[in-house]
Amino acid sequence: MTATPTPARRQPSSAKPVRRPGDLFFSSASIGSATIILLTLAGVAVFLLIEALPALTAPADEVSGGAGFAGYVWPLVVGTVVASLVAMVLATPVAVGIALFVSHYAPRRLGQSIGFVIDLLAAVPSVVFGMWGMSVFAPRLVPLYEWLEQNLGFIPLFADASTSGRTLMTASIVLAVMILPIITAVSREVFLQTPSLHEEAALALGATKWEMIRTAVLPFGMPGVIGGTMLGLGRALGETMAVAIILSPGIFTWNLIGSGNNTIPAEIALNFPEAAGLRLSELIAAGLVLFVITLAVNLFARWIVDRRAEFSGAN
Amino acid sequence: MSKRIDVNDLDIYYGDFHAVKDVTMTIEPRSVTAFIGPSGCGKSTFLRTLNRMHEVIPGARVDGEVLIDGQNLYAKGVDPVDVRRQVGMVFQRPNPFPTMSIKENVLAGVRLNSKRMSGKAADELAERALRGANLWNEVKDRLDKPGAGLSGGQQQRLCIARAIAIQPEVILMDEPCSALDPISTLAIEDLISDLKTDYTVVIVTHNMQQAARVSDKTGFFNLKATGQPGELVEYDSTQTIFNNPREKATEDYISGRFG
Amino acid sequence: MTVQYNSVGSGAGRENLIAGASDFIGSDAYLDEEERAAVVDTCGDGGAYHIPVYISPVAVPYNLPGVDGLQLKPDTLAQIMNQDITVWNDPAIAEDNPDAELPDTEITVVHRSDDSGTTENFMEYLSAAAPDSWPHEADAAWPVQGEAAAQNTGVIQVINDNEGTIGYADASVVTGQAAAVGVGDEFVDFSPEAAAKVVDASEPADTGVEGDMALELARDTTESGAYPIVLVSYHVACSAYDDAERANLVKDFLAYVVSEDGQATAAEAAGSAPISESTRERALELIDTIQGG
Repeated sequence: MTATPTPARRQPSSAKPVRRPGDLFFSSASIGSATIILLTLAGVAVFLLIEALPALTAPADEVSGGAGFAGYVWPLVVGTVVASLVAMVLATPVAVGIALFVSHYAPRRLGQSIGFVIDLLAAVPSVVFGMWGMSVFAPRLVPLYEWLEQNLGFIPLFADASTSGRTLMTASIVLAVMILPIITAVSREVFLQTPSLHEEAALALGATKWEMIRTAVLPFGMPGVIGGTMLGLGRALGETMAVAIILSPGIFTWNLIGSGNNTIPAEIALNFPEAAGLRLSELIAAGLVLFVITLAVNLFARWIVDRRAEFSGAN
Repeated sequence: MSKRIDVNDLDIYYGDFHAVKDVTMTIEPRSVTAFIGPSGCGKSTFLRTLNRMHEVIPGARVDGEVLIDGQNLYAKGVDPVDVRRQVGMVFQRPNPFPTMSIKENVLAGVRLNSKRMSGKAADELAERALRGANLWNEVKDRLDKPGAGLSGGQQQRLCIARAIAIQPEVILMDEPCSALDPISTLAIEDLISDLKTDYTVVIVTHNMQQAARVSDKTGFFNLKATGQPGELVEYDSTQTIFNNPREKATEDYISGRFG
Repeated sequence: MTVQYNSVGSGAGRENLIAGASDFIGSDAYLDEEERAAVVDTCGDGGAYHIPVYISPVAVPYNLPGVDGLQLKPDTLAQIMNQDITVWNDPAIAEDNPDAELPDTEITVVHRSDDSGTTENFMEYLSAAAPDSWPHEADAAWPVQGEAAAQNTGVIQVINDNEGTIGYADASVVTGQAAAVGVGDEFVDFSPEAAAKVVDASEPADTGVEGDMALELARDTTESGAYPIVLVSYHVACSAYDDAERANLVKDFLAYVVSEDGQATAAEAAGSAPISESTRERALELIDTIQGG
């Protein structure tokens, strides 16, 4: 540690510091950007609210399904949340595993190539994932679903296997593949930034490689992993085309391996083109609900990260 | 608990680069041995070969042997993980685990050995290690607070507590005071003097006064020119090295005529 | 002046016409009574004209290896669609197909997952041709839980991918087998000509507008060679515009669309059935009466 002496600056006697044009420019530019994003968000929220109002206030029997907007939207909410959560639960361990492999196990060159391939996965359009999921992946899952039905059929989640494989479970698995790159990329970056001081501290205590990762790398990277997971969850919550193509939607059911259920984005994408009047308003109101869910998820993630801020290592 | 170290004809390489040449020395148990020398002379590199921490850097390898009570660290089938459990290490900058409390930090090494410990045993061990590191009185009321919240000197003593909690034979210290203020440095130096009653302590330092104050024996490392491997120029009792060195290079370095 | 195509659903299109946001629109259904009353505000007392411009058969594609030329009477089809018949070797299907060897495969009905005019037309057909077997009211959304897919192409994809499936889709996208539908005592395969025939056999709908060509499609027709499951798209235009130039533009455009040339272009691009000569003549007469200024 060498301290470079900073040249002493003469303090002006007046209290007002000099504003340099460059500083002024950048501070106003950043304030401007921050304002624009907030205004955009507020604008979206207001638009959704105004357009959604007719559906929210319509008599129950005029809304699709005839049970009011709440009755219409809650199965979609459950479908959206279940699909996204399953995707997150499936993707996160794999993503963390890949990230650890790339950052700590693979030889540098191999790690970089794998990282590159994973990043490439993020560039695949969701329609392609949808087509692949529907035509290639779904039929191959049918035997698995049949096995689940036979052996775990007493659990309502696996009650009745689909013959086409186009189920919420399949959609979730494809969503997991889609959000894998983003969770992997974020995790890999934070793992790579683990201070070698902490890694060496663990190794010097006689930690094996895995123990070193457990004591130094994972705790340090946890906020980043949570952040990446939330980005992934956000994408899963909002994914439209892949779900719309893969899933054979229908009425709500707890059965994850049969046709039925739908997610909010897919419901909107499917029906928006033909929607008019109250139906349009219903779809926009569903969009508003999705907006609120996403907001809640992000606040929750922030809360989790902040809760351990004292131990974050940002010293 | 403390053991003798014999180093025989040790050469250290980073890939093709010959970093340290042909070191042979004996480090006595229950003593403090200091390594001094200019930057880049290989003293820290050499220190790290005593618990195989140099292997963390890809491409690092050694020729020769390091015997701890007659056991070669580099014999076939020796697991570096076991070596490091015997030979603890304290680093240049304090590095408590940021996500752990003070107590968790102290117990981190013990937990790694995957021993199940009762809460009472853990409390006792933490207290013993913290007392051993002269830190107990300062932190006993905030054991559950993050270790990273301590001052630099306290953090470094926490790291020493963490190292001695696993009851090693040898403690290596790589410039443990270079990031600390003078008062914290003094506290660590006092601690080093205490530690030698139980452990073999090896310390690398830039600060010659520190070497003179704390060590029993001193080794002077130097390199003839940039790109040449570092070598052990002289190794003797601290008294001799500072007052009556055998080599001209040592005398120049000690008296500040180096470079 | 340019004509801008604003791609929205039929319902939104009709709203646009009524609000005066669009000068003329295309719609899969004619204006209902409420809409006809409202459109007078923008189109004047003469109301709006419906001109059939796009006729497309809705096919009944299926995937059942070993069974070619499946034939289904309206009642059988309706019971399959309502999932009252669940296996392919059901006696009702066997009766319609005396020569076929039907397997005991389960029937999977594939429907549209998006709200669609195709669905609505297909359900209208089922209601009209098999009222005893089809209890559901026509709607843009399919009423029975089953396998669903997005768009016509999605339905076809799922049917082609899975054995034992049957569904409905716009004929232009069908790539595999499709069932012949019972009309009277015979079975008719879908074709542009067969679809155009049912249009000619249909009665005009009573829209209260003189000469209007909105059709009450004869879903239950027994006319030989007519394919009764069709989707007819109308161009809906005002009978009078404030602005002569605008009126002329609309007239020119509509006249092109119904012309032989325009219909051939549509048939090539969308695989629709061209309108018949007699329909064209009546359409041109009607278009000519659009007033401007």
